[in-house]
Amino acid sequence: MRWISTAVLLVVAAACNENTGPQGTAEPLALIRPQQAPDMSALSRALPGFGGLFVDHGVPTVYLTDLGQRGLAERLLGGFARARGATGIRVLAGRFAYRDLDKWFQDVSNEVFAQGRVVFVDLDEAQNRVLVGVERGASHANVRALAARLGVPDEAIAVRDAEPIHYMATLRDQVRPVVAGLQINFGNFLCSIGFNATSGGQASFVTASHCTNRQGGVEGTQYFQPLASTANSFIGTEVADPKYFRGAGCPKGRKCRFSDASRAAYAAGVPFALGGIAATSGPNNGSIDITGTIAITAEGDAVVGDVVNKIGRTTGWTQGTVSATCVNTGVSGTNIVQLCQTFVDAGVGGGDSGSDVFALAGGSATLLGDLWGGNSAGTMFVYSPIANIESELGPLTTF
Amino acid sequence: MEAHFLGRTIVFDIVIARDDGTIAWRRLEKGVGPSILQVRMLKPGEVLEWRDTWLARQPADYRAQGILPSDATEPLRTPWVNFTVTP
Repeated sequence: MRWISTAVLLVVAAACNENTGPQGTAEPLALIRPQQAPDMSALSRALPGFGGLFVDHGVPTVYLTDLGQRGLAERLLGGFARARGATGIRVLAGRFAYRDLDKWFQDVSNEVFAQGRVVFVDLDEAQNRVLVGVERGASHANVRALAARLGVPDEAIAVRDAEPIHYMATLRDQVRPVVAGLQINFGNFLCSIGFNATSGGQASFVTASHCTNRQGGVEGTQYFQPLASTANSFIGTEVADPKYFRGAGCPKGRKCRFSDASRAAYAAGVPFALGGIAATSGPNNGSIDITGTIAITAEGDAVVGDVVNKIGRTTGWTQGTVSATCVNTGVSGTNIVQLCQTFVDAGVGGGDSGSDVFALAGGSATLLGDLWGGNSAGTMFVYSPIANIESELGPLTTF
Repeated sequence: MEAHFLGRTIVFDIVIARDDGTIAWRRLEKGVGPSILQVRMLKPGEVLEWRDTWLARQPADYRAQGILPSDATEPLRTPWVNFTVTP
């Protein structure tokens, strides 16, 4: 036998490959390409009285202001209909020609956003109208008055209430009010928020103890959400992180705690939602896009076989089965043993430390603890039970 | 360039495989580590290197691969390197 020294060199590199894509080229008339959606402008030129095209329950349906053009419409759109599995097209009597609607759409679009609280402007092919969506409570009459000034017939415009459309935020974006599962930054490290809490009336959040400047002991770690480099991102300061102890049930030569958890006090004026967890679209799909929130309505514990969840900034929402409870867990590369921890067969990745762990029932969450670690394959995570956390950080109000 | 690494001390894995593909040794085969992410700014041309030692039990042909977890879906992996352990 002999020692083999295995040196492995890992080089991190990045390459920027700018692909500008094909230059714009003139498309031939889409009318002759049955697999593609017809070009509305081309149809408008080729079909007198064309007022719009849409598919109604699988049947291509066309508005015509001149129903005498039905035959031409069937010839032009027959291939498109057959390609979609329809035997033919349906013709409806339209009030307005597409070319007029298109002009009114452009005119209204150019002007109406200046009124504010306008969500969208659409040439609604299915209604043979220009459709304007405004936020609930915004004036419909003002939109109609503007359309009239622009020469748009009142019958050609429809106005309806619409939900405002926002950029979709991710777990790594700046999100207010602050909720569990979001990315936090301290120093040159990234972790996740475990859950919001109040302690003796102090507005706080809990994350992992190792997500502080020093694991165990209070150093006043400053946290930013999502990054220190982002404007107005300072959210709070570490205020509780008990030191690790030796003896008293801690294995020889090791130092221990019952939770890898710390508490930070929110800075004044930082909005947060007590009991709120950022929700993505579902478990185990890899998404980190926020689609809503989950409300914590209880605290609890889990037993082997229970299905539990976590949401964190790296792997998003993962869900799996508890495989072991109250495990004294040695932390790789350290002399730390975390006492009485829970193992879960579910995905985890670097940056998920601190994440909320919860059980779901009927859309509401029972808070179980905070995630702090996992195996190297990213298939198993470990969390500190909420009872352990509160035994070390003190009583917390978490919802 | 901003690079993300797992761990307060950067975590890396090394896999040693036999000719038949079975794993002879894996540095991080067992154990649980903190899921914290470290952000590092690398200068152009900067090289980071990690090393560990493995005690071979049998002379044979082996191959080795280094693995660097981050917050990417797949970790960075070095190409496999072949080597022989002689009696």
